[in-house]
Amino acid sequence: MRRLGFALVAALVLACSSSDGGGSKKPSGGISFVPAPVPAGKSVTLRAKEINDQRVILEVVAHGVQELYGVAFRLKFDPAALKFEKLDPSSAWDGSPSISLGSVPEGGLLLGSVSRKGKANGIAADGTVVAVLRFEVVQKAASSIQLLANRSVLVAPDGKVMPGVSWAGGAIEL
Amino acid sequence: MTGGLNRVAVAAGVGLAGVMVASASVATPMPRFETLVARHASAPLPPTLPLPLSAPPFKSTKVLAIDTTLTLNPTTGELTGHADIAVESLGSVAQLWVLIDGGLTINSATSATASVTVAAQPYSGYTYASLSIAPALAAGEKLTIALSYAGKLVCAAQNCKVGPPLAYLLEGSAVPSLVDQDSIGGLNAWGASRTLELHLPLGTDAVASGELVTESKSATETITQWKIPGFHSYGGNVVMMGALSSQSVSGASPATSVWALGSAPSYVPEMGDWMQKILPFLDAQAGKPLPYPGLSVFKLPLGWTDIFRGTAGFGLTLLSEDYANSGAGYFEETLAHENAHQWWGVLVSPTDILYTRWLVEGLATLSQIDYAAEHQNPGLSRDEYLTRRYREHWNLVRYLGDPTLPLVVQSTKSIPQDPIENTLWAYIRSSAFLEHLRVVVGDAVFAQTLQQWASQCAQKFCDTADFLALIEKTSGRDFDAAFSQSVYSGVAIEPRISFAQATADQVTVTALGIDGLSLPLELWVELETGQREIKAVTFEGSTPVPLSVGGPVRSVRPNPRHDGLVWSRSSVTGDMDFDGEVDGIDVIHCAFRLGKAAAPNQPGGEGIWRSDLDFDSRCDADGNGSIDDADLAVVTGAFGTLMGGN
Repeated sequence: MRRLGFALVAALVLACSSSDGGGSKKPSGGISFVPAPVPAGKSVTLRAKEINDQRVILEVVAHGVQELYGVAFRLKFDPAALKFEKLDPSSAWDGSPSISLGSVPEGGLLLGSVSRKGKANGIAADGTVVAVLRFEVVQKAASSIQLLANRSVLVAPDGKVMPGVSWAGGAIEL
Repeated sequence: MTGGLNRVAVAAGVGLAGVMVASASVATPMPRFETLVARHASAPLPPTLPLPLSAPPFKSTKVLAIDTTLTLNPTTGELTGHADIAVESLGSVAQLWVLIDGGLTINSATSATASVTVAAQPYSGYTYASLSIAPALAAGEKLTIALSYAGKLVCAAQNCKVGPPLAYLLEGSAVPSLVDQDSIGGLNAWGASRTLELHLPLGTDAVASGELVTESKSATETITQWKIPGFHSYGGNVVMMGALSSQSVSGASPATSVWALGSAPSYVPEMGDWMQKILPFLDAQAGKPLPYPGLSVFKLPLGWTDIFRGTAGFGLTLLSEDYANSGAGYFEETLAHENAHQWWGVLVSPTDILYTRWLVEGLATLSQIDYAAEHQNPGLSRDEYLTRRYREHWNLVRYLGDPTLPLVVQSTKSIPQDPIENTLWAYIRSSAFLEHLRVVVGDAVFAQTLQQWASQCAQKFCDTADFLALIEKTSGRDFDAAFSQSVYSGVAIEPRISFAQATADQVTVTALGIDGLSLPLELWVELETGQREIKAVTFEGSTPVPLSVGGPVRSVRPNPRHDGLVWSRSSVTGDMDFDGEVDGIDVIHCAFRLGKAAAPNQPGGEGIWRSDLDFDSRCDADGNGSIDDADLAVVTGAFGTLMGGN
């Protein structure tokens, strides 16, 4: 029985730490991130990478994109619950100069961007993490985290904005 | 007599200089950049811009007709010529001057009604001869001078070329150019009818401007007769000679043939195909078909860029295959440009040509780009394509040109002599202003304006003031200020656009940096919903303009087709998309352009100047013509700026 209990806990931990399924992550007695479903076609979604009572780390994931030059997004979050700390580019951008920026110019609005610089090939981005967002938990509270579709774009290596991209966020749940 | 000649030579110097390079240099395709750079760097420049062969005002002398008979061996240049020059005095005329090739000698000049005395001297590759008339002609009197000349063409003034495989004649070589006492560069012959009877050795073909009246053969000669009806134009005689071949253009109206050297037929079939599209395009733009019984299109050979790159005369369009070096597409659109001169230059021949090229080269460049938008770029919307093309005009003038130079200068001395500056003035900024006008009045009104320009001004006296009056009439708008700023004077128009929205249904837009200017624009107001509202506004300096809108506004910017003339930016540093904020969209816009340069001859560049049409001056924060890390740092440094100054 004890061995079975250990196995169950281990399985739960493994499931929650998976970084390819977009599932929620809920530490015992803490908070979790519940991602919105991944839309069909080209899309950008959020998923949890790491969550505890002090920190929420989310991955920005691009889907269905053959070649991605850059991503620019705006994200709304609850500033009473989270405080933005930093944005990091994912390792997908390694190998060529890139630029990454994250800023919260007003409460609850995060502006983020990761892109190549100059003449460069894009990256294949299908279920690919393109950026990692790190927040400090200010208050354990349920809240929404939304990528703003009308102010977010994916850019192709020819410099053109890709049409028909869906953007989905998620929610922090207790 | 010698003293008198010298006095006149000085007095007529400006005009003569123009005549020297006249025919091949008006109504021409835009020069290739390498050609200009080479000339810019090393070659001495002509003292003035090329001038047309004939133009008003007919202050003293009106030339009624120039009827020329030439017997020419185009291989050796040996020539005998006879010209009957009919003139009418508008005041008192005691002297005329003619220019012919420096290898020719005037044997006689006679008149049935007056005594004519010839005194000739060499002048810059020409034989320059005064014809003294006694008694002087009084106002209203007419006179025909019979001029006989002979010799061997040397073509030092580049108004002709002899020798195999291809020879050509322009006016001022075998056909005389005329100068009168008004010192307007021989322009007083504008309006003269011309006939040309050409005797060539058997086996030599000829194509000339004008209507082919007769063609016959003797035992030793091919004889052709050509006629250009008398109307107000600088479309003088152009003659091509050699072993030529031609291909008729199926279904074309007017009947059209593409000519080339028989030994160099490349691109003739393609040009025939292109003419099938170009002619209907021109018909639609002018609102009626070309009024010629026939049109000849002549492909000049490769390597002729610096010899004779192309021109247009009455019913004859010429273009060098060198323009194919930038790709068949650009050859095709340049062919459209050159044929557009049949309207904008030959048939509609502005009388202020001494001081401007904007209604000749500017209009032909506009036509060229329109043609490319309509026929060559189905993958882009017309707006997108025009935006892209006119962005090049911004970049070229911004970094290489002078936006303060009026499109109509007050003195020929103000016309840029530097070939790059001249091209940017004649072709690039002129067409950018026309495109700006078109955006302001709308495509439909502008199209109507061009059609009325063609119908009202073909073979008549019209100039810039007539065009202004016409577009004010067709649009119902006042463009006096716009013409004053950009046509009769010049200024860099660099508004910095900002907007504020106090209520959901009204936004206030301000254009900073244009104090003292009146600036009509089409504004694109993007709502947060993604919907675009089009607003026609006129900024008077920095006075804010209130606009009614349908909801929360995300961005306000001028229609980017204005960009060729109106170098607008957001008032917010780092904001590229005019939403008043600096976010990732702005950063990526400039990050993508890192390393790009405004100068021509870029790797992978487009067009005959090989410009990088993705270069965006808005990203070039330090204005040095290249987008580097320091420029990008300006955008990233402003990252996170929101409306309201956050």
